Amino acid sequence: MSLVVQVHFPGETLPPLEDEKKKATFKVGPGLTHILPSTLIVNRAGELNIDQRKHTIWMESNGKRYVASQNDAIIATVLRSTSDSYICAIPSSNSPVSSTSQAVLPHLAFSQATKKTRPMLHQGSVVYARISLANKHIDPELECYDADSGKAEGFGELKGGFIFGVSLGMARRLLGDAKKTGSLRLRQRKAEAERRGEKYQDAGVDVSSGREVLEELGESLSFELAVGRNGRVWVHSGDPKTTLCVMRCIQQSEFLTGKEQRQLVKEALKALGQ
Amino acid sequence: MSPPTALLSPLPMADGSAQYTDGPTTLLASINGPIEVKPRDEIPLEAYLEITIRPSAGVTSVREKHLEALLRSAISPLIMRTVYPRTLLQITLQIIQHEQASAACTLHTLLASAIVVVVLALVDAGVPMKGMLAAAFVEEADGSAAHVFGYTVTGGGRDPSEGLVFVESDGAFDEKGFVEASEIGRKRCLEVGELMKNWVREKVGKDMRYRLK
Amino acid sequence: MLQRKFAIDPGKMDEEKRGITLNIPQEVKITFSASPQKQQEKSPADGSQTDTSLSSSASLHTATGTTNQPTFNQHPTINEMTTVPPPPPSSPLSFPPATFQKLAPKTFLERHLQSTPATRPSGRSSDAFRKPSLHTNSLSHAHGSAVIRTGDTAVVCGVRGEVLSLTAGSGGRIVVLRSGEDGRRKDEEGEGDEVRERGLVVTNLEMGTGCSRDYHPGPPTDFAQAVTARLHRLLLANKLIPLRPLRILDPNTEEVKAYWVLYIDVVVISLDGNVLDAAWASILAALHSTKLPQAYWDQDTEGVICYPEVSRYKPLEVRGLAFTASFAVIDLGAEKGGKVILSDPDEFEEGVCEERIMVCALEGEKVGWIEKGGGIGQVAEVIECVHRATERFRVWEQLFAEVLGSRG
Repeated sequence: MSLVVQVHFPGETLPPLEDEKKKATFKVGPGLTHILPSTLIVNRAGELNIDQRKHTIWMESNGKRYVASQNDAIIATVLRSTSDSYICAIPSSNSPVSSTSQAVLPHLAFSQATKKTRPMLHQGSVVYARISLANKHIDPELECYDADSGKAEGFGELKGGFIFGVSLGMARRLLGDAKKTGSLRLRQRKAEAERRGEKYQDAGVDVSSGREVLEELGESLSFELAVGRNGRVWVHSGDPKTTLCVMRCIQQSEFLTGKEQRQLVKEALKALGQ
Repeated sequence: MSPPTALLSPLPMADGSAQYTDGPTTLLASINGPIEVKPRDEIPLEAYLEITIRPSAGVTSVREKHLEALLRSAISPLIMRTVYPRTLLQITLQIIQHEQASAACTLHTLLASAIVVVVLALVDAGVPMKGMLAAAFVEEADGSAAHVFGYTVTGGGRDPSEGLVFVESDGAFDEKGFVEASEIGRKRCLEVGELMKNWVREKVGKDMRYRLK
Repeated sequence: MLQRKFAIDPGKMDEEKRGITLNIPQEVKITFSASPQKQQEKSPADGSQTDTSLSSSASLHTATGTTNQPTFNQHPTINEMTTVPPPPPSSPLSFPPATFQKLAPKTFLERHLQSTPATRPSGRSSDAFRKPSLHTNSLSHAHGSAVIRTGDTAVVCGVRGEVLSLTAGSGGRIVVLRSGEDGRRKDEEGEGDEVRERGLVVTNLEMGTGCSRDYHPGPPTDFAQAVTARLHRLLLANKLIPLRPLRILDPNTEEVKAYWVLYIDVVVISLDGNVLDAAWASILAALHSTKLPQAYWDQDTEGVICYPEVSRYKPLEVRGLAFTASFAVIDLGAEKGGKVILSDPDEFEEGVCEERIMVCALEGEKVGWIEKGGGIGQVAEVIECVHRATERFRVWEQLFAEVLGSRG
């Protein structure tokens, strides 16, 4: 039982895209450089992912250093407050404090905030925020409400709890990205089989979503969880044992298969006495 | 001589790292970045590369500075520095072990291995690069000249057949000898390049392991 | 390599408008923001420009330029900068050359090389080196010295011999040897090893105060240290310094009792690019003109005694000649002429071009050392540099013959 991953290396020029509709423009995601008019060159080693329906193409690779990108939900820590905004740090997977830049979170960027009823954050407070503006030349800007609805939707201050780091790839999987790309690959494999005129038979290899650990933990324990795309995870539960159990299970399941993750959780729960 | 071996991501706290062993030489490289840069090093439209080399014994000296300058000239053309302007990319190389082979020019063997390990660490860190570079050491049979060649293994620019990025040649030789040595160097670089690609494939495979049932 | 940061000097804006009108290609849009305060928040340049360095520098420029009137030909509405954002100018902009050089150094150099005939901003052709000049023995307290000028780059080298006694307790120097990191090569006589092992040659390069705009007082910069390391390796690798004149013998037993240690100090007085060639040539010239006192080991006093008469000074007997040639490479793009190799780059060209090639030519059309880095190139470029370096060797050889008499 082995997984075949086709790896592309930095500097490789990708073959021209086969576009079903031939008219839509593809959005180029991370890991690829666009040379006008229509050449794509890989700049990061990893796996190529193409979504024909949403017309996006990107390189999937794991890393630890987070770089701010628009619309990402992240966990940030407040450093200080100025007259009209909070200056926050965006930490990466392995560093408690950010080392890249400082993000700006306006005082009123919370749902239903007015000058009198806004949340008061101090140095060291943790927020779950969305990056509203990110550009390689300027410091990023954050918002603590959902873009479409204007409501909190989970954004805002995270009180209590415990924060730990995971790799960026793991954070994406916990947020459910791997499920989507998994179904993407399934579609691709089916399409390829169709083109060859065969019936698609699933080898049963490439099935896990990488978040089995969460699913298993959620069945037996009760806790609150927030995952930031910057590789930081916040856990909160009534009881420190539960928090620590969740943390250890998530951190140790970085390189485990789906079955191994479930096994790990079962053993951890047994040790916990459940 | 056993083939070289490498390990990607041996350091958990670094953004990217690689350990490379080729014969008696073992090197460890770590990459951190993009991180905050000191104002005096800040470049408006590019990332600033800070390269530090630590010897296996003793304190750093002019020798390390020279090696740092050579390493910089080899890898800086390959890193896309405009992607992260006004940031710092920290490259640290620790010489764990480096013994002198009988009559070889030891700076050269060190340099070739250093380039390979730093490129592996950069790929491990996910730093945007224009291509991958491999380096090889070529020596004349009579010991009259020693060369280090760095050729790109992917992304050689406009002319994919050449892609010569780096040369450090020492001794007494003529033009013909140099061209011949460069051909040998290119072949060896491609061999090392294939090894590097396999190591990167292993790493990506490990990252994607979660997909297994 | 010195990392260049181009500072824009608003004072220069008021220069006379005499200058070349350089057409900027249409795909580069220079946009000016409405008010200087907003400048800091968001960069006005849109992301897909081909020459972002030009547009960003231009917008930086206007932030300082609101107080003095920008003097380049421009669309009339730009004067209303503080109120209404003007449309980008459609007519070609023209700048005085010095301004253009600061705003867009790479484009400035490219334009010069694309004109016919291809010349560099300094007026030289791409394969022309600067004419060197040499003066020796100008320092009275050094055993040998030389001053070399190539264009505006000037270096002084002084060689002084100190005695290193081998007997214990005589205050000899301690040299730390690290096996494995010192380059070694097979040598039949084994001489080179002794010079290296005992540290009989100490090289040092310093940037003199005020030699260049990037000069910082303090300990040697990484750049100076890297050049020092290169010079030291060149000296040892080419085995130019023979061991015999450095040995101080006991005349009765013919035993080696002490050595002369050569302290070679190079001071860069003025830097206009390519310090390596000038520094190396100055070291070579200084060594060729070095005369050390005749010394011998005296058994009675158990020390080294030198004959005081200058007429008894003996030359160092440096073997042979070797000369370096440095080049910078710039890529004009496939359609516009490909790669151009610039011989003997000056400070401006060194700042623009990242790709460098250095060749050390030896006697008899041989090559002693090649270094290339900073860009993706080809073997053919290196061979071209080898040819030019061999020609340059002859120029240096002739100069040395004139100034030093027939030596080596």
